[in-house]
Amino acid sequence: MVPDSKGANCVATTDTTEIMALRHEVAALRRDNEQLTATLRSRNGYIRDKVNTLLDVMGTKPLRVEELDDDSIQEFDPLGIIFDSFRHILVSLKDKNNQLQLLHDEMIAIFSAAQVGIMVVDREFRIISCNDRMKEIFLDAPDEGAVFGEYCRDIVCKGQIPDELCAVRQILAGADVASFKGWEVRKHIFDVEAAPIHDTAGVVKRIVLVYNDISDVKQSQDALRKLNAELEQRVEERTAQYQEINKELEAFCYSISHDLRAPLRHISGFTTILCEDYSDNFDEAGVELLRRICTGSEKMGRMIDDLLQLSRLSRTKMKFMEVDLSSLAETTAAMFREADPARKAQVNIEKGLTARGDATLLGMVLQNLIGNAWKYSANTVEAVIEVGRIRSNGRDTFFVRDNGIGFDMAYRDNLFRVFERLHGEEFEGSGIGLATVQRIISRHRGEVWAEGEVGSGATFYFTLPQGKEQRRWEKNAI
Amino acid sequence: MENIQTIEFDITGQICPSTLLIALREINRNIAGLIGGNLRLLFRTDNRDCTNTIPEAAGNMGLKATVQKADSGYTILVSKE
Repeated sequence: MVPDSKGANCVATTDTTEIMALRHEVAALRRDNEQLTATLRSRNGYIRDKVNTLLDVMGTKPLRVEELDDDSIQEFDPLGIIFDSFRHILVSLKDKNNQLQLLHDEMIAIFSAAQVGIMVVDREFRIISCNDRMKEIFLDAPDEGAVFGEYCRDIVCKGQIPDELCAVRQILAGADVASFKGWEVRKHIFDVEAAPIHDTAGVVKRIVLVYNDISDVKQSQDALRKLNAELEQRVEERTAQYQEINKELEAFCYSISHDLRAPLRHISGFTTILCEDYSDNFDEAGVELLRRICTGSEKMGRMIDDLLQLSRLSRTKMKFMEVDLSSLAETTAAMFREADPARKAQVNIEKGLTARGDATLLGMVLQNLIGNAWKYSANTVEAVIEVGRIRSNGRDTFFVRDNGIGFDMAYRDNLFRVFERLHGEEFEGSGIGLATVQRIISRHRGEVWAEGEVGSGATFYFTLPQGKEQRRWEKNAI
Repeated sequence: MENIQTIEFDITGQICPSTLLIALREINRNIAGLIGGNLRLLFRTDNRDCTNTIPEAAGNMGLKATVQKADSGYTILVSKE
């Protein structure tokens, strides 16, 4: 403190001045403080306001002062939290936008490349968008601007579709999918399909319609149908021709066989008379020759009988029924045993073998196959003949197996030919038995084949149609 | 199987909007781990409102939130979508 020129009051004056100055300073500071407090309150209010706005967007309640006062709001920094969150949301939305853009581009590409007409309409039937193919089909002068906003009934169906068949109306009435097949317009035929596009509330906002031009397909189908009918007609004609030729051949074969029997009977009869009544007139060699003529004519007679039987096979009307093959096989085996009681052969027949077919014809199959097995196992010491079934994938394959002399598989194709015999005169036979078997199985639309090995026996397999296949064949069988 | 860490937060007793702000703060802090798929956040709450707001906000951020009823409230598991 510096004294003034007037003495004692100098100190007091100085003090008062300083106090005044201090008071002014305090007052100024208070004013500043009030201003700052007001500014801070205003800024906090701003932050609170902005935070509440964003919280409202996020679907929650505003900040309450008692929950977060002005001091805490600075420390907790809700604006910062929401700012960061929105930043992450924006990044995520950006990614999703990119994905959506890609999907959109893909959809546009598909839309453009599609060879079907695609159109989107709103609930008022106004065209929102359509692809180029749609415009090609329905616009005489494709002009994009002329289509959008127009009513589809004015551009596309032109009132030619009744309301109850309109696919858009069906969708608006609640259908998930609507279709209108074979719609003919502008010399084209379309299959029309429609599907709804829903908004987030599940209300149908738009409808997508797809127009598939099936004119070419229809034309092809019609042409194919016509071609098939022609083919069927030709097949029927050709079949009739073949059947006629076949009948003629069978008649010829029957006639020849029948006519051969009369002269053969004469040869056989006169030779027998020669043997019985005039044998004294012949020397030993002559008698032997006569005996050979007898044997030969008997054999020829059997062959003619077999041929006649074979030719009858094709003409016999088939009578379908459930056939007990096991029983037929037992009867056949018994017949062979009776004819040759001295023969020791074990015949094993599986029980329960059944099939649907003509009992007489299937009996002939078993007679021939078991007969062959019986014959060709005659020289086997412990002959075993088996009749059984192999069941695979629900289908039955029947077999007749023996352990006789067998055959060379190289000649298996010859087995079923008429007059073909793999073995010599030591085994009797006309060479018609297996041809008969094949003819019968073939008439049943089945298959027959054989496996064997020289010295190790043979197995003959045959199948017969079953289930639907069998019923279809039986229906058409003569 | 990859080891995924789960951090639990008990915000029981808190009500909106604090529940949402706390959840958002923790999601923001751990966003890298969440998006990377090696971290999950489990919030325990008894405030029903936030079972809607937290999953919606998490969904907007590209995350998945699964709400389950618990004995004393709810659990909200926030993880990679």
